[in-house]
Amino acid sequence: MVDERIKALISESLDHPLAPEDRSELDQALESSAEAREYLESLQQVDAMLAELPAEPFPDGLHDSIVSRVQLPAPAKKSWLSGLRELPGMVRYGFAAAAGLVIAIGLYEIRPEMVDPPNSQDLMGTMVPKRTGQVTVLDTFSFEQDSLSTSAALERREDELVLDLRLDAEQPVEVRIQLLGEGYSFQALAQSQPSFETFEFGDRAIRAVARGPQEFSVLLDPTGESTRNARVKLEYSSRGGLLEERELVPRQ
Amino acid sequence: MDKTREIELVELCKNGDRLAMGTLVRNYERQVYNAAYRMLGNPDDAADVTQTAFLKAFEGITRFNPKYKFFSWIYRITINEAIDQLNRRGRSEPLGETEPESDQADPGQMAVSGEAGARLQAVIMQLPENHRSVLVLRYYNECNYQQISEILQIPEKTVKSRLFSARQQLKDRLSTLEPHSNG
Repeated sequence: MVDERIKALISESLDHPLAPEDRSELDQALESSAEAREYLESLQQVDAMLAELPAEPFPDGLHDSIVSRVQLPAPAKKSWLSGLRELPGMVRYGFAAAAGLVIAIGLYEIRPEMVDPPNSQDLMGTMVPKRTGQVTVLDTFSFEQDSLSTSAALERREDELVLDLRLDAEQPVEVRIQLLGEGYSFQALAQSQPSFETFEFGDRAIRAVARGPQEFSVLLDPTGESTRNARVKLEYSSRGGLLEERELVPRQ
Repeated sequence: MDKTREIELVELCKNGDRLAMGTLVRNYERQVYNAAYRMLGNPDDAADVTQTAFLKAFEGITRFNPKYKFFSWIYRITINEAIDQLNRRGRSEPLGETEPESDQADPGQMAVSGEAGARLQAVIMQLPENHRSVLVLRYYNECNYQQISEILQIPEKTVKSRLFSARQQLKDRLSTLEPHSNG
């Protein structure tokens, strides 16, 4: 017959190291009692079975169902982008025209290599839909390491496929974004704090070097028709060394 | 996810940031679903509870106290919702009412997958809810005593005694299923 206190100590020993006096008491009991040893063995078997029970597969579509139904409080303050919408009409249309010009270059000069448009900053904030209305988060990831904190999300905003990316880096970090799927391309950018040290883009790849807090969104497909094919590869590196690479794929 | 990042994301959610919300959901959804499944033993009910838990968590996000961890909050809501679900549907099964099939249930031999996993889940479902919840948080959400205490708002001594009792019951139930005793 195993004492109840010894049984309780055996159970607790499965969860964490015991206090020295409890460990000593349990060791003595195990040394002197075959029943105590048998009890320990049986609880260890139960413990192993519980620990090895595999996770239940997460249902397809549940993530989208959750994020599409969640109601959040209204934003407390306006973003830099919303201020743009309040600019006088001529200025606003000037931005749009500049954006259209650069996008036209991107669309009609199909170049696999990177280009560095000198006026890329001008088009920022004009063409990417804001995160209002119906937003479906298709995939996300976040990563933190020492001086870098970053997150990315592939989203469908209304009908438009958008990549949203944030990072905060104490040292310059190079971010490479590659589109791996078919039927979509980089169409437009929005950035809340335009302070890239380097920014280059082609229709299938972006390379940016930045430090400090950065947020930007990239419109990938204004029709959203290519959502199911969308695969976006992200690579983060610093001082020539790869920090993290990840692929965003719609989880539906 | 570390606590600083979690607090940042919660603060963004309080300002209506859906990307931050999506990141928090993505980070915890599988663990929340698995906890709900182990509490309820049914994937459809677990999906319902997972969804409701997140909806309630974000509905009340402005009331969230950052001195706690978000996962403590979401797990607490999940466990409470799961227990409510069991009570609403009258599926709470006190010890002894449902018998799992008895073949191949030797704890020492059982590979914990497929049918064997289902039988173990059936035995877990026979535990009282308050014992089941500490077991679920300990094994399927990898919480320690202090975290379980915070989530369920019970003393750590109670966590320890419920875990002990849950394991004892599982051991007894599983050994009655053994076709041949280990000796």
